[in-house]
Amino acid sequence: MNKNKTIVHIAYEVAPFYKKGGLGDVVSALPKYLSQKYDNVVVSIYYKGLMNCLENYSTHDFIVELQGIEYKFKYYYLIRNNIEYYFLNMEDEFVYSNNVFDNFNGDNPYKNLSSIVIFLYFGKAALTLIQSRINNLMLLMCHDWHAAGVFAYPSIIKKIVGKSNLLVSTSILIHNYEHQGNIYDDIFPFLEDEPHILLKDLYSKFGSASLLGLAIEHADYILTVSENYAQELKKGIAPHENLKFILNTRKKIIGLQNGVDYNIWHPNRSIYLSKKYNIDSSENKKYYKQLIFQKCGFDQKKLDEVPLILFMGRLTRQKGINLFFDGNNENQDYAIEFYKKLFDLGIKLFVYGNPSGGINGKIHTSLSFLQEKFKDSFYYDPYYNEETAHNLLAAADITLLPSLFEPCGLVQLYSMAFGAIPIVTPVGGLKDSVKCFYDERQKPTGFYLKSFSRNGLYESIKKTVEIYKNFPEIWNEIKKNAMEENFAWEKNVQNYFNFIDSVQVGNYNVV
Amino acid sequence: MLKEIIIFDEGRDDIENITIGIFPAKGRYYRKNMSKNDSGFFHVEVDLPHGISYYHLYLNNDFLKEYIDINTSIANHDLKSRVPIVLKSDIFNHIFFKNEDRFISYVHKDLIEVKLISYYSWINRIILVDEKLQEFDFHVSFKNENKKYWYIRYKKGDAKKFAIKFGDRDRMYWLIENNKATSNIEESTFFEFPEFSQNQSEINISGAGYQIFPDRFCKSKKQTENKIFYTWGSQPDTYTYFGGDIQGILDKLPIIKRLGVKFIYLNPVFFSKSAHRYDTINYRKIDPIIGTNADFRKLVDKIHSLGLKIIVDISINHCSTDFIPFKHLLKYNEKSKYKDWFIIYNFPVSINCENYSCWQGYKELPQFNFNNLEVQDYLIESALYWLKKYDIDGWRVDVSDEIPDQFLYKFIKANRRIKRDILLIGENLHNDSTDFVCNNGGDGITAYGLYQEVFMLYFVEKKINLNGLAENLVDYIYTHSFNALRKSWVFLSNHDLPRFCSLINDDADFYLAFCLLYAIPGTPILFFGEEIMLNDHPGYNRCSMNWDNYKLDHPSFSFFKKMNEIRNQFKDIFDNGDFNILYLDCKKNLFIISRKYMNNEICFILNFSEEELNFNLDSIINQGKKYRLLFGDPINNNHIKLIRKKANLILIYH
Repeated sequence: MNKNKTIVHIAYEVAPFYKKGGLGDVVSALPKYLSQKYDNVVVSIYYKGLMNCLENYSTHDFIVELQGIEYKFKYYYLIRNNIEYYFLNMEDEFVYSNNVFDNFNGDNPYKNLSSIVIFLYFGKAALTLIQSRINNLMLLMCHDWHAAGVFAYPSIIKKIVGKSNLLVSTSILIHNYEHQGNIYDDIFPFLEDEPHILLKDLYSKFGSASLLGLAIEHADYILTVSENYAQELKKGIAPHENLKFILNTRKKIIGLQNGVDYNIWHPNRSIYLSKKYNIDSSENKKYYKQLIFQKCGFDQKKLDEVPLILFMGRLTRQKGINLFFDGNNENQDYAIEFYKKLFDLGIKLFVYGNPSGGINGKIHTSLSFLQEKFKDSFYYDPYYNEETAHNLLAAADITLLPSLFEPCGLVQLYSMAFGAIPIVTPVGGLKDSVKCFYDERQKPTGFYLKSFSRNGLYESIKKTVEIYKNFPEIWNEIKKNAMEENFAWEKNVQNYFNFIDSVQVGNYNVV
Repeated sequence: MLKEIIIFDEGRDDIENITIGIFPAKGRYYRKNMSKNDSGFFHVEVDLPHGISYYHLYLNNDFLKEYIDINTSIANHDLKSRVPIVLKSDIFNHIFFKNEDRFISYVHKDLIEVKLISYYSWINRIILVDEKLQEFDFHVSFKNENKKYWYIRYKKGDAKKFAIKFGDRDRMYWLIENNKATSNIEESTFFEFPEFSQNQSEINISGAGYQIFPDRFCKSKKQTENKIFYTWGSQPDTYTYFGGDIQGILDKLPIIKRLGVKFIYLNPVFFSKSAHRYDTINYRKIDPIIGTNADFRKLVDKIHSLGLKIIVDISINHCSTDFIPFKHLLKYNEKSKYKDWFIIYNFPVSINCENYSCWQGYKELPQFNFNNLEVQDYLIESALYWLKKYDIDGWRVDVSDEIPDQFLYKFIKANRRIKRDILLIGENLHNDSTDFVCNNGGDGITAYGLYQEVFMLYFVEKKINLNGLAENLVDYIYTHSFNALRKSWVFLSNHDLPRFCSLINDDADFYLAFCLLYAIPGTPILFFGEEIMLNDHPGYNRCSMNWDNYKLDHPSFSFFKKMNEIRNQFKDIFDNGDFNILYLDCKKNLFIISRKYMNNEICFILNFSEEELNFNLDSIINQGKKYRLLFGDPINNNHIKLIRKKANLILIYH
């Protein structure tokens, strides 16, 4: 570790130590690939009682002044694969653990995130740590709004910049604009002076304030996880609240696509698959399909003619779960009509993922009801684990990603590697990564939804299934194209290097 | 006012347009059309005050059916399936305290309660310091992880100025403005308590209330038959009459008296054209269907002679379309002398065009224009009429959170001038008592916040465990001033809610929930029929009372009688006592609440578990103190055996 140029990542989750979703995976992989050229440091939170794989660490104390009182913070320090990790925590060790978002929190679903202030303090503590520990900072990457508290303390950033002998840049990497860390002005007087002033300015400019808004206003660079999502944000067509922060900035939004770790997510390398396969042995998929049909109690007679369609992911609004049931109607009238039509096409559908609202929620109840109703063709499993995920991807012929929005998306990338053809909404990273069958300019790897609606979904499935059933050669061609695609981090990290190269010489076209 | 853009999407093909209806945390309901943007999403910007507002949606101009947006209703909802928009922040400071009523209340002229919250576990001592540097320690009433809820009861002496000091054994800091800390004491560190005000610390009525919805309570033998009346006991709906009358109430007063309640709360009784009577036609006339003004006088007199009081519902925000000024307006339009009494969007005014402001979109309820002094005077005079001529004891002000503060202030002041100890309760759906009580001089609010966050979440929706219940309960207590709390109405059912016993599957939960309700600072309101565990008809909540099966020895009747007896006997404790969580064990599901005043203390020992629990009183009774069982199973040698979901109440005294 002596490349003399350091990138510091600040994020509230990093796999395998603590992970809730895709963000944790990216913060785990990205530093690994960036470390080919630069030193990488990850500053995250120590969630007491929730950490995994934390071994060979040392612990240290440091002081952070909060509201005029010196507080003892603690950090857990370790080096793994040449990356330095700092997991910091407040004197009250459970404050962060108790405030991480958890849909299955039975204690109090209303109070998931008690106060935004603790994320300001995370930012301040992270900067304090960087100031004392990092000597040659080149780039500060704040991942999503939880890390954006950093931008509320420009005076410490200034000290860090002064200390480094490099040109120091700050950046906010937006993994999902949906969550922003909103702050209302009733709390401003109770904040420390610096965040108070900055947030007040932001508030008077926009009529509202959020940590993400603060970062967009003050970071040197705004990054996001795909080219197309960057465009959608800039044009204001992504379906998010408070796009005004981004619509008003003169800064460029730089799209840098995430990668896949094919050491894990590949049918030939997956530790969960007993019968591995690759592009030349994709007939092995049939073995998994049979297993799944068996598990679901589906009729196995005409296995080849009946495509298995998989919907996999968190069952949330973002992922388009509302196309799969009627939220407003106990009787599920529209949904039943939809499924009747759908199953007339001769398909099987597997819905897999943790439902938003938990197993007492509306999504779970409705999907369970529909499964009962369409036992022969529909299977729903709310308990996500990686082993089943791999087996399902291996078994599926088609995957559905009818997302409302998708900053980058990973399931479509996994799906292509496993030879399951994705049907996606052409939004965000989905549009960037899946080449539509009806676009003749390139080798197709999947299909696009006609519109984000139940009807659009039905029409797309219908057309896709027609090709699957009637034109096996074409289907195999698409499958081959999909499996040949390469979204490896090894390749995609190059975009980051290009970005960093230009940032270093200070000539990145900002406007 | 804050702006928030709401985006809606559903992926259904049949949605042409969406109308959003906003229920602001403060102010009147309004609707706005959402606009569809290029990518097919509906969105809108709304101006909202701080606090918890709500919205609902209508599709394709179908205003008869609310549309429930699944995306937001998955985890969030309120009692009417509306979606909350929370525009307030959770504080995270060393200490959260403000020199205002929420944190400082007079229990009586010489006793002040100060509350505050600390957010760091190292803080284990908080001291109130007077100008002579005498120190008084705060006590912890509940602790949850790093967060502690503190209070002190301070006997007022000569001292005028106070400061707060916090810390631990090694370091102490002074609390200064905006809850910041300093090591050095300065002149500005000190603050003064607010002035004592008689209204705000006096108990107008001590004891529980009994709510009567007149049309559904009792139809007397004297009631003239009317073909519009439904058969008593049949399936109710929003519009039809059952024929309950004042004579019916008079007939049943002795029974109500036996329950041990101290006042009767009547839903509206003024002349109107619906069974709920919130659409007043004449503010000075009793609805002929239930009786005459003379009958009403008889009712008030009888109630008073039984030693009870009477609180009446008044709907001053809106009226009936048959209210004479509105009818005049419909007829004469711009020429009407009443044209400024209402908010008219365009002329000619027509009920079919709905071109006037009406309550939550219901065209049958036009809303008053409170900017008009004539309207203000008219409504105030109407209220005073009943005070002066009929001697009623208070108002429950309908939709008080939608009425402008300056009018409420005037209304409350005028009423107090006639009757100083009048009880004024504001209906409030947003868990906010600051405006109605602290700023405008009212007494209390309807505690929907408590109902939803504590009782619904725990007993009905089952979304929180006992720890969540305790936390939400203490949050409720620390959100309101002590004075607003003790006079606010706490309830488990009313005319706008499903009956609590119809929402739960286990009768034991009914009694347990009510024991908890009586333990909380507040005024319990029993909705008629709860004393016999009357159940709702499926799908609708305003059913008529079942007198055929009304038994005075119903276990529920005896239960309330006992609870009210205790409440009345120890009214000092219930009215003035502090609130502490003595014991909370989430694994065992055992919960002990203490209410204490002077030397007397009542402990509510609540077993929330499915199992029998044993508890030894030694741990809560200090030396030299005696105790006595008030309610529950007998105690042997300080040892309580609590059967499943049952409560014991014990009195501890010197």
